[in-house]
Amino acid sequence: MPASIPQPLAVLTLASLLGPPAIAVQGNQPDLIPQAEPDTAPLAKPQEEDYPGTELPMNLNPTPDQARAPIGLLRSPGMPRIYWGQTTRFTSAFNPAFGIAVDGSFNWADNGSDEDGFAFDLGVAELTGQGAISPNWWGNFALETDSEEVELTEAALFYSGLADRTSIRAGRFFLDFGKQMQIHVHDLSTPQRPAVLREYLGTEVPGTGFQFDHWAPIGETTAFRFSTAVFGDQESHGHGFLFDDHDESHGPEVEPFVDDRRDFSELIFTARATAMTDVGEESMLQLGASLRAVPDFGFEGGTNDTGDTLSTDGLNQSVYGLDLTYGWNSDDGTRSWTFGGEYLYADGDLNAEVVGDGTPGASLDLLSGSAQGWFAFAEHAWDQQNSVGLMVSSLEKLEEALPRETESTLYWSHYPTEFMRVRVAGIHFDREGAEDGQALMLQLTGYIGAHGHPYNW
Amino acid sequence: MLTRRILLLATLIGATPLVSGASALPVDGGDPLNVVTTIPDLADIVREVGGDEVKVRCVAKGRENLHSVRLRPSHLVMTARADLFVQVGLALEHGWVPGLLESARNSKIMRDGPLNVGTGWPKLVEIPVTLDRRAGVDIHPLGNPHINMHPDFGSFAGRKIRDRLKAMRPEQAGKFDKNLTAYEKRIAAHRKRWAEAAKLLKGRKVVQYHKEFSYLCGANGILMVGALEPQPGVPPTPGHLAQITKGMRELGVTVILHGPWTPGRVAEDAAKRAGAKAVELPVMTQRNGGTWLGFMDRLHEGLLGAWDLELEEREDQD
Repeated sequence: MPASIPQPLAVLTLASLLGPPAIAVQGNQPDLIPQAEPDTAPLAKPQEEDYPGTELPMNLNPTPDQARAPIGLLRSPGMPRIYWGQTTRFTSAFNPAFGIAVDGSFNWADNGSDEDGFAFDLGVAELTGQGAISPNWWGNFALETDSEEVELTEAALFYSGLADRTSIRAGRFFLDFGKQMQIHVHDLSTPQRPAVLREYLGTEVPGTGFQFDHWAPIGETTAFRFSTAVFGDQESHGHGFLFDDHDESHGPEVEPFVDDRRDFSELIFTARATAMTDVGEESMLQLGASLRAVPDFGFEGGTNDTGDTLSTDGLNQSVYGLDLTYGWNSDDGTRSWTFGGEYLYADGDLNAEVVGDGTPGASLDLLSGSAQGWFAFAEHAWDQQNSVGLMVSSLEKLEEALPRETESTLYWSHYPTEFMRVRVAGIHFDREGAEDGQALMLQLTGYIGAHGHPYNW
Repeated sequence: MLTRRILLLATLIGATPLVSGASALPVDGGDPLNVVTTIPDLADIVREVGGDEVKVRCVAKGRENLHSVRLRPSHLVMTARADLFVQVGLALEHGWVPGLLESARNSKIMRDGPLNVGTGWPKLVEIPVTLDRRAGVDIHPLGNPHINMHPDFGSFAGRKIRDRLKAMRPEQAGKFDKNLTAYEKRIAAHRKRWAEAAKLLKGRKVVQYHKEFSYLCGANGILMVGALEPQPGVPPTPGHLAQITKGMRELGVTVILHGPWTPGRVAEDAAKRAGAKAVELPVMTQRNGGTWLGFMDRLHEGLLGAWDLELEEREDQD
């Protein structure tokens, strides 16, 4: 390969930093567009050329200059195959789309704890990347931080070459449960995840596993989709702004865990089936049912008198959900009403509390049985920039005696542009046997670059 | 437990072909081609060119913002069953078409790609020098994509569509040529009237709410002195409105053009402050029975009406 003669590193580094030439640098048209003569003459020359699937008038074939690279141009025996082919072309034309999302709030909370008062919270700063690998493969990642820790919440590959309307994904991705759990909190139309979802599933639940997804048309106006997934692990984490769902009065925090390796039958299993249909010319209705089964897990937390962490295992838990969403849009697309809700039922080993932490008789007191809860919301957008909504969530807390908690959120979202959101919210919660709590928040969210997550309907 | 889990997975996965089979996709060359278009303008032109060889469905209804059309389940279904998906392109529909195509997962469309009739449009205006969000929200790297309001659009799109249909149904090539020829004759008849209108409209000044009438105005020699949106896609700010209404008075601009999806109240308030008139014009053909020729007629009538102008008695062109 004569073209593989290495060039001086400095020149090449500079070339790679400069990247390919800018595209679409053409003459600009100012506000004032004088047209000397009315342009109504018939088309002089028909455009016979067509380039289906692409519009960008750029040369995707790197020139010899662009193709220079300091490494990997000659694959000698034993070298990885990846250094042999087109993956070493250092043009940026095929780079994935990167984006940054920043979500934060200034808030005030009063929930009867030591942490009442005002606070500035960085909800999340997120870096995402996504792009096609080939016509049938696609990949993405999302790194999130709340300034205290960095988490890889998504890193998955998607394959859509099996059959029409079918895809599989493997890697790390969000749980497909109900209308909400696929969606990152900063993308929700509500200020925070409904309390019942936080309590029974988690604020955000990424897991590492494999998911099969298929949808099918039914008639002319209905689409049916289902997904099944198997996960090795699922971690609940969150960037909640206001309320810590763990109540310190019940002792040290107890965390669920799963073993790294276990039988296939003990892996976490999820399934979702949903159908949506047109209702008239301007509305649609969606119904869904979801399941998450965790057949083998344990709880750990607290210590005994020797400092050993308390734990229990061999537990199982299932959460079932039913959701219903109705949406209406005006014919010009500027106004909308959305009503939705979801009912959850949790069954099995639901939670554990530490009894006698740090003492010789310390133990984990298991809460087993069933609990249920729901959330419902209504949202109205009166133009393209403004919407107001009310969400109520009521649930049996996963604590001894299952005290009922109700959380109500009233919010106004303003979108100065589609890349910005300013939200004002008032939240009230009422829990049996505890002080009521309330909070106010001013939330600011900005999207820089391409913001994308593989949400499915 | 393992048996139960595998049984459930197998049941769900096994149900796939059963559910899919209930709605087999058309593959027979004798059936009309299922064509889905983004806007009714294209649906009308596909019908004109394709005749009885096509069955056309359209996503947009005719009053929406073309950059953010709300999708419904039926759109997903029709796209999944489509043999051909036609869009204007030029990033006009980039806010919603990629998601629709990806969700529909129609291998035929993904393989061949949608037909972008705007590709190669020779008269692009407002092409950005740099791509930067500071220049606005609706930034179109290739230039203003609202070409469906240019008098050349019908013929330009018709030829693109004819070529694709001929590639898909070579045995019907003669029919598509004949249909297009007949359609272009009708376009030519309408263009005579539009040319008469242009003579009356030439040199008049307008302000737009959103820069979606640039091709219409440009083709008629109308001077566009500004937009109520300070940058494309950015809602008007009080400061910008004050500045532009002052400028309108100074320049003697008496018309503000806006589409059905833009806040008419804002345009009317600005017009009142500038001593002008807010005129709502359609931004695309209406889906139910509308034609692109009729849409263009309405646009020209709307422009003439904005200045209380009238053409002489017209002959029936259709």
